[in-house]
Amino acid sequence: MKIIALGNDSAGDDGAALLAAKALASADRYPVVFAGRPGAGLLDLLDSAGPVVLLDVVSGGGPPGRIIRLTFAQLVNGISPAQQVSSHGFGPAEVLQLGRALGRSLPKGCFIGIEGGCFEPGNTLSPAVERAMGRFIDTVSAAVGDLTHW
Amino acid sequence: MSDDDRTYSVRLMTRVEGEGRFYLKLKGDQVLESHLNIFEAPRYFEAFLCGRAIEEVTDIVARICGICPVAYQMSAVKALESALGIAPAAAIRALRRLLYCGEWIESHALHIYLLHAPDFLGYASGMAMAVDHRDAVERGLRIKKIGNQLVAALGGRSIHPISARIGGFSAVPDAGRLAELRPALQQALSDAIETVAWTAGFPFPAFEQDYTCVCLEHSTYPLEWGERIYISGIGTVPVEDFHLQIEESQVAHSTALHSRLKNGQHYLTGPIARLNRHYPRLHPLALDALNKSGLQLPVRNPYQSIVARSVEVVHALAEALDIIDSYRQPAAAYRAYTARDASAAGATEAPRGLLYHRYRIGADGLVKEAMIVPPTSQNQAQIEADLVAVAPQLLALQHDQATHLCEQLIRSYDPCISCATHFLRLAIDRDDTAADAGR
Repeated sequence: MKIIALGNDSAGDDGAALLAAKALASADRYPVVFAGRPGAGLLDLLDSAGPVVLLDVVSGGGPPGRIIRLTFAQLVNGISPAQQVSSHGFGPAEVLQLGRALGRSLPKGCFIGIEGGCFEPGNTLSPAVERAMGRFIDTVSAAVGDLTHW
Repeated sequence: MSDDDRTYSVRLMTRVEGEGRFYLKLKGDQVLESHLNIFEAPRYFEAFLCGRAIEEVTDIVARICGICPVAYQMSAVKALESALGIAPAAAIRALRRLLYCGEWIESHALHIYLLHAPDFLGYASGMAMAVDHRDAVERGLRIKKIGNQLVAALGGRSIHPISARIGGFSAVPDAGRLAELRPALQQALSDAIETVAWTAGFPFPAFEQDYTCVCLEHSTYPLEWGERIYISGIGTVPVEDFHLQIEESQVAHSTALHSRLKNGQHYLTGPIARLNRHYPRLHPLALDALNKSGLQLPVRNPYQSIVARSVEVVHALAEALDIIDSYRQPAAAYRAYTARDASAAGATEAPRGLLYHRYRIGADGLVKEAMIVPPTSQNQAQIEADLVAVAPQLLALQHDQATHLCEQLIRSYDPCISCATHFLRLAIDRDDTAADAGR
């Protein structure tokens, strides 16, 4: 089981997933990969024998701080209610699509995203996302618990 | 409505080093406007650097680009070390070249396989292409992966590496750590040679330009080191004289400065410029792959940059293996220095072309002035000139085909822009009023 966090900690809310992962890593309970913006390199990170919880920030026009949890199948099939904030066109959905095109199995696990509101330079979260961080971390912890007992 | 008026435009180029669009307006076969419109807000990196300690520069400039951070670091240390009057030890130079090889490998592989090849094979994206060309895409991903691993091994991490510093590295790897990469590098070299043959077989649009090529001049294939710049038609000039030869100017439709020679001539920097000037200096394996490819030199067709890029991947992998085989861990990871009042320039060859830095520093160890001229901005005027030159061919094509030809042309230059253009929307504008007004 591992947690992979995506995002940019110098672009406001885009650092929320990394911050959540940092909090979880400090508890020293889960292996955490701070992947940043790996682009197509995410494909290798997802090539894992065990389950994966993939964290990212989304920007889909919903209220900042909204948390979404999707299966990887939902993500790759494009039924995500939000568009992923990605780097150079290779966000998680595109990477999973690429993996599927290459005949690779979807990883076990899930995607958990938090809706961002402000992506301006700096490492400060918007108030709405700041308020939602506890809930975001709890959601990830719950998902890890589910997958651990899977 | 006049069928003679045609506007080809893409309105949004997102997630690029410089966000922008392209706009080409024709009346009959006459080009009225050709703009590569970069509208991303200025990022002020040069201003950020002023007042910062010179030791911070490499970490700050690495943030300019997620695809080629090593290039920014290498041009920065080259300029700063010149200002400080020091030069890295030979073993450190070799390690920097190795690090830079890693960046060329991963950047070029990304561009070749996921961004540019789909254009030639008729797919909207690398993902779509992977369905029918699984083996090819897996080959590209293998090459890209070892490039990233090389950067991580030397730079501490593959994106925005952190080990480069003035005088050397904060830490250097032992020979065993690098030797572990050898099997994957060897496999990638075989993959890269195959890539040259693969890309050389693509159908290239018939289009040629007489390019003025600009690249670093050196006795080896240009990469991390060089004191002079080659400008075709002029000769070689010291890197220090960059701004005596090249003028930057602001244009209304772009927040990125345009670069031209002092005589107003636009120019080309990047893989084609390097290959045209330095092909005899390629690694023998890369030269062999080039010869077998049938690519005619000098390259005048920008669409063939994908082949030039593929040849450079072979070169970078072959050099990486040679450097690893001869590597002996240096006793010191970096050279000490004393800050002083000075200014100096440095240039290296980023995957996309010549990357020029200039710094003025003080004895207090702070940056007083910084200037950075990236290859993307240098190529802008040339891209616009190419769009003008390709315009007559567009008239005989359907609108979507014509637009694709333009997008493919832009993608020949820059992986960041190329990446974005896969997501572009296109608007066709046939304007009666404009025709009547004779615009």
